[in-house]
Amino acid sequence: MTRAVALGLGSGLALASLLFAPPAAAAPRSYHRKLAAADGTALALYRHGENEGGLPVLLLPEAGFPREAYDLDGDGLASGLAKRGFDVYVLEGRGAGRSAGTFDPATAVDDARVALAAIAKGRRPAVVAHGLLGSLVLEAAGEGKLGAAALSGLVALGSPFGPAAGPTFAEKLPGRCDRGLGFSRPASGLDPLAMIARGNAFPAAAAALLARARFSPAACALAARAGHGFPRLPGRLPFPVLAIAGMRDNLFAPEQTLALAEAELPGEKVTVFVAGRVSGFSEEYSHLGLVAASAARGDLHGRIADFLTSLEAR
Amino acid sequence: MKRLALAGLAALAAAGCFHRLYAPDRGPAGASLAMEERYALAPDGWKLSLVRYRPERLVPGRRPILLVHGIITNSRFFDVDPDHSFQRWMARRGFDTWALSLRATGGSDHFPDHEKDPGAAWPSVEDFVEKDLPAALAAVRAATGATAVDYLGHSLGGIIAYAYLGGGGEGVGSLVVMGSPVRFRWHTRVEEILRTGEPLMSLESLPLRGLSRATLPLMARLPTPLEPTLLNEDNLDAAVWRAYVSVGVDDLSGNLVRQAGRWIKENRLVSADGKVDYGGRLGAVRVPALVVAGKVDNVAPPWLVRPGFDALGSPDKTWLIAGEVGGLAADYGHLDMFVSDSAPRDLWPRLEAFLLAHEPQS
Repeated sequence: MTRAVALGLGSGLALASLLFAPPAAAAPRSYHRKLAAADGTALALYRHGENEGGLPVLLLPEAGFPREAYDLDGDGLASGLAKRGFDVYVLEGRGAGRSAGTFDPATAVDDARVALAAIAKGRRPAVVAHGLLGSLVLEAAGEGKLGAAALSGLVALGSPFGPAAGPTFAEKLPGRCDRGLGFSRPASGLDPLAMIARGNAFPAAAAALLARARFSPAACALAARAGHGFPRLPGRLPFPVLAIAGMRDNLFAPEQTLALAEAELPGEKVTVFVAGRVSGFSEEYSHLGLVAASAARGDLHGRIADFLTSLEAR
Repeated sequence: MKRLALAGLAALAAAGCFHRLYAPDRGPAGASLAMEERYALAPDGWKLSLVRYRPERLVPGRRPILLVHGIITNSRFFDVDPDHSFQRWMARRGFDTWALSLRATGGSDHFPDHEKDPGAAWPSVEDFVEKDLPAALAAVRAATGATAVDYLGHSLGGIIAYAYLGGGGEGVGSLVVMGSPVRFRWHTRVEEILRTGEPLMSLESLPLRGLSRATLPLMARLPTPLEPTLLNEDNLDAAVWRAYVSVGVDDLSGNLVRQAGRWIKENRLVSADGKVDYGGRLGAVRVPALVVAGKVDNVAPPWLVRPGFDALGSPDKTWLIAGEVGGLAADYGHLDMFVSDSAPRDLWPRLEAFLLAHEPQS
């Protein structure tokens, strides 16, 4: 009897919560725009929302990943930041999504510079970059290659800045990665799940994303060099950096990201943390999980937004 | 208020009586093994427990191996129950396997005996390095006739070996060090957690053995933040974890807490008085070494363990990340490298292979 009453009460409350709950906020619309690279290559730039007054933020997916890494059917970081008032753009790297060409480290920096100039509108944009792109951006900034539109700050997600304490899957990539990083095990013998996605639950959109991702041979070669001469760290940190490492990142181990703090560069402040359960996160984050895990929205988006807000306030 | 405190204490004491429900006996040694407990005598009079699992047939020329546990535990860390026992696993493979309980833990003398030694105190690392380890090594060598003993240390057990061998200690054949940090910048909430423990710095000791047993019935029902910090829960059943806590958690010396506090403050591995830099003399270690770090070890993550490996002077040294990236089937935390369902399948065979590859040439 008591159980029946409790069940009835519970069902009633659940129904009431459905009836009176505020509607979920719709994801900001995204707009596609073609951008011509310095060499004429057609690049795809996407804007999320129309936050004219917000801090311009350029999101750079990991080499070979399309814009969906930050979109995830409207649940990704791009929407999360747009809802918080930032003027958000995603640039697809060459060979990914609707951008032509193939990934190359040199053109990736050139293309980022073109995109930054296009979105700056007189302000200093911030960059959120995944993996290799975070390393490339910091190296390029130190060498003055990002052009007149100096950055206000950088969020680097799973980006290598130093050597790993042990083997990484990145070192096994060269010559094999062109077979794809999809969820079906490629003939290379590398298990893509273990390599970049172990330990996290993903929304359905992320599975499609993995199926489409392709590392180019140049990306593979660069990944293998991470911590061995790449990236060259600047002598002075030119802007604040938030570097987030995934505790279970098997592509670029957490210590590779933490190396930026260990370098103790003069200049602006670097904030680092390891995304794992011991620090109060829901999961031990993998490389892909840092941008695409279901839990990232609750665990990471707010922290990234707080950092970007602190840049706006400077 | 006083009544409430008394009631709380009574409830804890009563709960502690039930810890036997979870505590596994060692049980019989198992087919083709013999188990015995012996004692080594440290130079300052502490009696130290050595539990030995001896294979029925010893392999001629093979060195015995000494297992040394970490902080807040004892030799049961390596022998939770017959099904979760690295010690028996090794013995079944022909290794004469000895596990030491450091002073003030396990079956060793537990409290400083002020009658025997008025200067006796709860231990620091120096007591383990200068007294317990030489006494244990001598006892194993005397019992087996071996000239050298292989050594496996987990966490603090590895640090003890670093300090002993870096100071010129002898009698060790091959060295296996697992989850032993030599630097102390985590970049995780572990630093925050450790700071909350600062009030413990003034205590003489912390009676964790009793406390953990008293809270076991609660632990069976309520998850605590401890487990995800100490282990990858995917690697063992919750019942095994409770069994370990009921027999393997031990008291904590206040002197060790203060010494660890110094390590964290100075970000280096030093003696209690700060005069000896144990990390700085690792170049003097020359024995073959295998150093292992758990991929998801929150206590001793790879970036805090690796500098120890790099500093070792051993011409023959091997590094292993205990995780998928290191070729294993699972990613390991701190304790589940031994208190584990999965380790016998992938991690322990790697340790065995290293020891076999470094056996003395017969």
